[in-house]
Amino acid sequence: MNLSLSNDKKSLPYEVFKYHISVFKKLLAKKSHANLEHINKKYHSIYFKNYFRELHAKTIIVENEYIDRDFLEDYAGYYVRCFHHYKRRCTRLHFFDIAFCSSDFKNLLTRCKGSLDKKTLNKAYLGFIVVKPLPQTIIGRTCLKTYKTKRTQRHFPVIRSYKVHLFGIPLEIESLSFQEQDSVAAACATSALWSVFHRTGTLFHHAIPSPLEITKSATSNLPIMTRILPNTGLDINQMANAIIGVGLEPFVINVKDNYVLKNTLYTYLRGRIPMIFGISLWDVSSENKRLVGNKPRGLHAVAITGYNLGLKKTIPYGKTGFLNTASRIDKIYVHDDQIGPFARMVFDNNQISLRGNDGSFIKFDSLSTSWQDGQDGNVRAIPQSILVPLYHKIRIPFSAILKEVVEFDVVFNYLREKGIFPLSQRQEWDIYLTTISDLKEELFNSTELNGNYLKGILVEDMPRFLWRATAICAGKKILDLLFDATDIEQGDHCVIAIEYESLISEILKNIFKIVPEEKFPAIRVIHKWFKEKTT
Amino acid sequence: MANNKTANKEATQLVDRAKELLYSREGKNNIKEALKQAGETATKYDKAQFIDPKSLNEPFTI
Repeated sequence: MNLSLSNDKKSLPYEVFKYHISVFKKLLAKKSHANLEHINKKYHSIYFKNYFRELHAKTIIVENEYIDRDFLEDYAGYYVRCFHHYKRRCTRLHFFDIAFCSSDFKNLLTRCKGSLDKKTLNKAYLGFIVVKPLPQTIIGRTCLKTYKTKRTQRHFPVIRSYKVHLFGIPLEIESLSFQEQDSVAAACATSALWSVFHRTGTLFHHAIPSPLEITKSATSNLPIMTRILPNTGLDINQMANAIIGVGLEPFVINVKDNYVLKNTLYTYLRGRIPMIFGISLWDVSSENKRLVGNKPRGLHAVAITGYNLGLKKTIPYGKTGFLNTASRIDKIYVHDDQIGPFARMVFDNNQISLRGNDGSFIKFDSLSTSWQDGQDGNVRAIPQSILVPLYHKIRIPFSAILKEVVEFDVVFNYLREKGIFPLSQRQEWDIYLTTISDLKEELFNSTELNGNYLKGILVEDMPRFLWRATAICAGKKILDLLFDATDIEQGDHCVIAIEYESLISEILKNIFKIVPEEKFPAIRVIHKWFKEKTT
Repeated sequence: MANNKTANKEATQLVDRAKELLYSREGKNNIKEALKQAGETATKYDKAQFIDPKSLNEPFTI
């Protein structure tokens, strides 16, 4: 492949290449002015090699002299004042899963008859990578198609539509923006926040700041011990400050426990809210059949963008053996600025033993990562915290809903075990945040409800944000409990129960009618709803 | 929603049985114990997600 087509002094508007990983790497080097040896060593190169193989990339269109808004902000805020002359314009690489050549694309642009048309090009579009004109940190705004989700257990609820214009040809891609930190205007936390804001911006209608604007906002109201730029990292307080800066509210949760981690990421991702995941990375080795953390690499922040419900069985929780869907997660997908978009982290049940001060070992839950150090999988992550950017009206936390559902579950399960409910196995609960629009659209499109009962629910007055807890038995929905996420915890926040099994609903209504509320104080709001529905 | 007479009759019989269960000494004790365990499960979750304020100032630098 001849890559000498583009002459920097007189650059062509576009070039077309047959995809091969070596071509891609050469393009990265040539368009950024980075060293090819450096490109080869980057984790991104290995990651993109596998990613594009999975997406079946066949062709690259190089869009030279591309003006990227985010890089331009960083350029104006920092690079423009450097003595060295850094380029202001970037290069955008577009990827397609069909093979075509430069003359095919030329025919499309000149409206001459050819094998390529707008529709075919759009269907084959895999997304783009902006290449920044920097010596090392060259991966700019990147929007790539996700791995396939149909007939898999992969879920990417936070992706959104991006409209791309390639010389007047409208293209569209469903993704979430990713970019590598430049270690100047942005560190890992800034890049993760930037990706998260690309979703919350469209979800909650706020402006999407550039990496430099995020770093400045994060550090604007807090005392710091060192200079802001070049930026070496942000702490949770600073990240929270950046979230407040876009008009949202930060909610910090400790996720060292895998159960808490899975529930937190699942419940908010299903509400289409991505989040910041704080991890500590460790170089590990196997000693006496256990993984020992030898060397801490430090704290790292990534954006959680998806999950895989790969476990066939739910994992019982607590003394009551509570079953919920989130516990079936076996993998999560993150935008890790040092690896790539939608990078996989696996719950492989391996704990890391860390040596305490007294020499004894303490075990921690951990996940495998795509970080490498000569051998695959020898850099592991210990979960630390999750930072969720919430709209101010989402007030009731998941833990409050979990408490009510767990307590309702034990009463429900007791009656099931005693043969009152005709259910052969224990119910699983699918609990997550949702909106009135998403809920009603799903109900309207499903076949589980119909007639006047469906109409009654579709026209029911409901709050914008809801916690939804669905009881499922043998793959069949039994009951939906909907809680008002905008209420206060002491309020009557059980909005409605959607009944899929009439017999079970009738029994519940009649039981709660005759058994006083005082008997079940913990499930007061659910009790009240069923009781009122018996009249 | 199917809401026929048969379902209602069946429901009434099952509700009577449920009422007997819930008001029996055994039933009361079982429910009390189950609700206690449920409370402990919720508390366990609450405690696990509590963040150490010291960790809020640790920078993410990689």
